[in-house]
Amino acid sequence: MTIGRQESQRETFARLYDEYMPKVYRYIYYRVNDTPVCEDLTSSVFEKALVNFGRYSSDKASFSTWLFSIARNVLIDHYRARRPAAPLEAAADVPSQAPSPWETAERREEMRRLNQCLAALAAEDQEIVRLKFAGELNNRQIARITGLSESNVGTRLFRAIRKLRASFGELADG
Amino acid sequence: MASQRNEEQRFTEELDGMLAGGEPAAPGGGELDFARRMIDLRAAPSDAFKTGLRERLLIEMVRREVAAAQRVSWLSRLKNALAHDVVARTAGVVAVVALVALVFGGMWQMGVFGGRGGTVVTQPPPTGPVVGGTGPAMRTIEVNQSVTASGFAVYLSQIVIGSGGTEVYAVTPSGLATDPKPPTAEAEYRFDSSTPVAAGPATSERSAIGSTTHIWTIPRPPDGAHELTFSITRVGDTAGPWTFVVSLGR
Repeated sequence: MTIGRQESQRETFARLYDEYMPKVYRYIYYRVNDTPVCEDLTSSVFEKALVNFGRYSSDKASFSTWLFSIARNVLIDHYRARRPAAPLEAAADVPSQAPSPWETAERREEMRRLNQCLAALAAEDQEIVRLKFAGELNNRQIARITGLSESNVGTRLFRAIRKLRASFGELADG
Repeated sequence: MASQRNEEQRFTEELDGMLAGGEPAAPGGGELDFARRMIDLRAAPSDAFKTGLRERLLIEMVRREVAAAQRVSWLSRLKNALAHDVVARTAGVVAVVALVALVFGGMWQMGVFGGRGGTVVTQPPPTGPVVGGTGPAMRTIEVNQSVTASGFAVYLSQIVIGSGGTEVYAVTPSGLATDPKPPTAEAEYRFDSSTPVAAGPATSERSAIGSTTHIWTIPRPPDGAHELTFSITRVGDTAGPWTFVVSLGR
């Protein structure tokens, strides 16, 4: 019985899980804004990653690009299966069903407002913001996932944050 | 145009630095301040979810590794037997010839060769937990049960009944020991309602991420036994018991 041969793969997966799980969780949370659903979908992403881990090749893509492609597909499948009539942007308006206990009311309100503003952006800009702020990916990695050029990602990200800032301020004032 | 590009470039660099845990090198503009606020507002998974999912994924990974290793082990044993044992080699050749005859016989019965037809009696596929195996000499029972006691989930992946005894495979989580060495594990077993017997020492292998695979070798089930009750009574300093009841699927 030789278990040691695969030991390093298990160790690698554990290390990558520790590094990327919070990022994937945040990325999904931005989209669903609901803790139990976010936990389900995050689990699903890592289960798929585990099943396909043996086939992952670092020559083809970085692990983050590969993992966030899985996460994107899991989200697409989720909305396709459960809310076929609702546009993806509407997800951000769904209030949190189970707010985390550590979140204060003020923080929750800010998060809700931010999600509302994010939902008003073009779908592609939303995705860039999520991949940047949740996934902590660089512009080149985002470009690979979205199919945009790296410079275009930089431009769109900057403009998206400018818009978000403006609309966030308007909501707070109004 | 160029200054716009520079501003975007600077924003990206500063933002990447903030995401990596740093502070903006230059005085922050409005967008950078807002980005900082966005970073502070990000959601975070609870520790319970994070560790729970990690444990579950790693146990699943161990289960897959044990299953893969078991397949390799089974093939190796078969290869060794065929290479070194004249009787086994002869039996292997006879088995292959019998299998070919069975397949062709079945096809002939079904009229594939244009011969006589007739009623084809289809045997249902075998069901139940017994998979793989090579007849009465060796078989594997996939258990895949998890039992929680003393706050820890212990996973029994499979038992392999071979000619030399019965191997029992269990995985204990990282939280059961902090020492880099694998924790010792004690267990007892009984077939049907017989008196429990100590299972003896396990062969234990600790992974770098903390979980441990334990393999006990106990005697083959007596003829006519229906059920194995395997109870892991202690792992390291933590007392169980983690008790698994496995149907022997006879």
